[in-house]
Amino acid sequence: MRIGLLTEGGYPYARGEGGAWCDRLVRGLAHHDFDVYALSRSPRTDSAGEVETPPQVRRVRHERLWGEPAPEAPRAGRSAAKAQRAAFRTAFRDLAAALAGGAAVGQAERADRFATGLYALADLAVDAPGALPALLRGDDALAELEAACRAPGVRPVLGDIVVTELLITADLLERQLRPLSAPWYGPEELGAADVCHAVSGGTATLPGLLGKRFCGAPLIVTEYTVRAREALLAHRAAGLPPAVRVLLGDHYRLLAGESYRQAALITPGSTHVRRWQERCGAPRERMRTIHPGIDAGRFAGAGAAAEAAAQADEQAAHSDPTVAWVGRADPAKDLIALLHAFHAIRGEEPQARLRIFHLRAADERSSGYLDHCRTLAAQLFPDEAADAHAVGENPVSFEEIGSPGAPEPADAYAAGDVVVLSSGAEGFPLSLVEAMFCGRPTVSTDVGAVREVIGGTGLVVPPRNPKALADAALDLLRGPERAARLGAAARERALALFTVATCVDAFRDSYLDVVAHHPVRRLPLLDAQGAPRPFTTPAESLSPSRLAPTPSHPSWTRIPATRP
Amino acid sequence: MSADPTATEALLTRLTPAPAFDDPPTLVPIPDPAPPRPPGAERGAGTDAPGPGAGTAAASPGSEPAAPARTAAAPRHRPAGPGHPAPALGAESISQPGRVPAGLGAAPAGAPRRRGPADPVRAVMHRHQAMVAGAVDAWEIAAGLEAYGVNDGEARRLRHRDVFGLAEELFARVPRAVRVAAVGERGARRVRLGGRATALHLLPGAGCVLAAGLPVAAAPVAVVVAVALWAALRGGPLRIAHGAGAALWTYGLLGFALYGPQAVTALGGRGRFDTGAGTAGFAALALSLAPAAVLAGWFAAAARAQLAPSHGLADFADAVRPRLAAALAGYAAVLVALLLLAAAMAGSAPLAGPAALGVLLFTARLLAVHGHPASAAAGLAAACAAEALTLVLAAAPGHLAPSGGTAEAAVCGAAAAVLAAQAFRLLARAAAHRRH
Repeated sequence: MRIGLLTEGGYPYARGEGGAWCDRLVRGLAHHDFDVYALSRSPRTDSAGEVETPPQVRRVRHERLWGEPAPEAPRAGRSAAKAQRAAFRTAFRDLAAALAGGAAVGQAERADRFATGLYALADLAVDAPGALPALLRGDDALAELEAACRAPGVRPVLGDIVVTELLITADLLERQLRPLSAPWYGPEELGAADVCHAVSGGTATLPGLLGKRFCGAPLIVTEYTVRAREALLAHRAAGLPPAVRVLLGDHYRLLAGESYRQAALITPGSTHVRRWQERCGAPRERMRTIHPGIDAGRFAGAGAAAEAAAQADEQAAHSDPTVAWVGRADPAKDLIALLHAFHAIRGEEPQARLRIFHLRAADERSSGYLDHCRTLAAQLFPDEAADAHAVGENPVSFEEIGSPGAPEPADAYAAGDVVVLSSGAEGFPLSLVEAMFCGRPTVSTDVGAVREVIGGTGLVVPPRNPKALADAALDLLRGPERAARLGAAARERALALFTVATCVDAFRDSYLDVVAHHPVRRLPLLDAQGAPRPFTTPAESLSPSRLAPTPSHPSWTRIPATRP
Repeated sequence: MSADPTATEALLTRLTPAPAFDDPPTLVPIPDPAPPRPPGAERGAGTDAPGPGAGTAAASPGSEPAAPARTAAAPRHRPAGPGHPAPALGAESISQPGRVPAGLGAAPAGAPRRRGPADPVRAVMHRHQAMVAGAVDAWEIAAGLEAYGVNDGEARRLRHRDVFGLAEELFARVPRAVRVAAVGERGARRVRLGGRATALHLLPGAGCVLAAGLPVAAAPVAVVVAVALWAALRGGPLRIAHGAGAALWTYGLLGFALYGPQAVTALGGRGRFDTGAGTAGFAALALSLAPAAVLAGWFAAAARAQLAPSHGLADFADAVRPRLAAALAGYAAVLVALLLLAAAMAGSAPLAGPAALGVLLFTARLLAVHGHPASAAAGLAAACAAEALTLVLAAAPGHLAPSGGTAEAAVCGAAAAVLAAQAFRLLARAAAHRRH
């Protein structure tokens, strides 16, 4: 089967979220062919280079969503250009009216007009290649946007839109709609795909929508973070003017709604994502939650050691019960609450230690927060020594992953008797899943997808409640049997639900299911006698087309190579 | 808010519904609540209903007109009777008439109750005041709340189905932040060429003056002038990304300005070919490059400064056209002054031809700088072709061509007029002043 993989900012770029997951998916389905259509979101994405793609990736196509558009193609002629402009104005009028909304435009009609305008623009981009970017940045687009914002019943924030905001909106819309002009919709490109898989929402679904419209390829939309939501936050953080935020936010939502309506299958990564998708109009009957697969191989050793230790009943004999935190330092992780909780734990267990394992600080904000936490830890806990002749040491240690204390993340998790997740806000808690793989008992705050991930195999406390966090951690530190039971259960749960194999299997089934229900009708539709040709490409013909090298044992049982 | 006892009491007072119960309790007047509150807190929705259970009506945006009546209806008294314990006074934010909330959240029975506002949403409003007031719709509030860690559980505690419901209530209740009116960018108005750029822009003119003074060194100086012109136009306010072939026509026109009139005279058999006759006028033209750059920069900045205050494309066009006229007129005035100066220095120099050519080149350059290089190139090409035709006519038998200076002035003047009309149409559009 040939899969058109539509990405935005992630795979195959080395720097980009979701890239690693996508790589595992592609490598896991070695007997399918992949065509990658990649949209790069910023010069940063481009500059970091690309990962090496496995041989099943047949081709990689790129399009930039930043910078100036490609230089305009030579105009056909005066009358042709005039016709293009007229067609563009009609199409963009619909789009702008849908974005602006208004008293006269209902919710269903908005979605309808958005789709009409979008597809009309796509038709225009096919008819006149290269003309669309200039038209979207031109004066016609500004005039139509202004007219839409001045329509009766439009929200007041749009009513007094100024020219700067019109310009910014037109520019950003042009970037978002750039996939319309991409030369990807011929019979050799997306026309050859049996299924399009958009691995994020938002702009990445645009090629999928057009692939469905022009080539009939069914669309699968996978979202691990809601693009419409991320865009809202990003626009706010970027300080865009209010009117621009309204129009672009509506663009993202309407695009998401259209992609959910057209998708044959929607696979949210967690319940939180699912809720946003339903809110944006995703139909429930076509949704299937597929958790992201996480490479369990790196944690197999730690998990096995935890199991062996539980069986040997070593847990009871501990002189310094250790609480561990692993992750990327960020204000959303609420390390402050963790330090306060540990203060309470120390009151009960004077020997307790807290080890904070953080990844290398990527930016200014992260390192600043880390320094702040260090200061607070130094204020809360003075250095302590065993006797008058020993060198003192702080009970709270900050260690970078990769340092001698924890060369690998698995060592960091294994260092804690209890692993704590103290976040104030969280998406899908990867560090929690990794702790589960290592068989550690966990205490986490009830944020994001934590409850969904942990099930009943760990303790969950309310966010920003250090006392509850301390009590729960103390419970586990003082009850090693219970902690061991919880850790073992967590490991079983993670191995059953969150491995790469589970995720890849789910997608393999989904592909076959979608292809069976939505076969691409290829030309010729009639045979030599003029009779229709149904069942010429049954789903079976698309199942594994070549023998793939099958690993002799699952990847998570592999023992990691020991370092010299 | 709950940390400050006076603030809490004042809030409680405000939240107290008008005593609609059967026995009026003893009313204890409370002195004026001194602590100031943010503007959002003054306009709570829980106070405008006389009884519990009307909170939902208040949560809708339609309750805005009731605001004056609300302050009048809520007396600054606190019922202190034993039949009215504090939690029961709270205006509920859900539509469950008659049901008295059992306190805020699930506080354990024995724990000391934290005295907070009776309307639980109010605390959230206060905590996220800035985020909510700056938001443009309920979606943005929902996303922001989740980023701050408010999840569905918290929303349910506040008696909403999910975060979206809570966000809608917050969007309806918190007044939008006042939008700061956009002001034009003052700093951008001051256009100053840097020292290096000024030198670059003055170099072609200086070279021409040198050539006019030293006729012997004309050839090398001409090369220097051509290179300097190219270098000057690579940066500064007159820089363009792509010229659509205008450079060729420009050099053609400049060549005609330098030698054209004499060539027409010679070809027409009316005189001898005099290489130095056009040099003074040409030097003035080359010297006008620096003021042209300054004026183009000023025009770009002035037009861009009008983007933010203009409330429509038509407003913007009306504001830009006078500035364009000022730029063109200013350049023409400077050029004429330079030409007069050149005429005074050299004894005699043509005036109309170089002036028309200068305005034509300046207008074309403005068009090209602001994203219409094709129109500019077309105008220059037409002028160039007309001048070539003049040469052909002069050389043809019968010598029908007018004098070179007249031909140049007429052709360049007509082309400049056409391009200026185009400029008034095209440069008044906002898309021409996009920030690159």
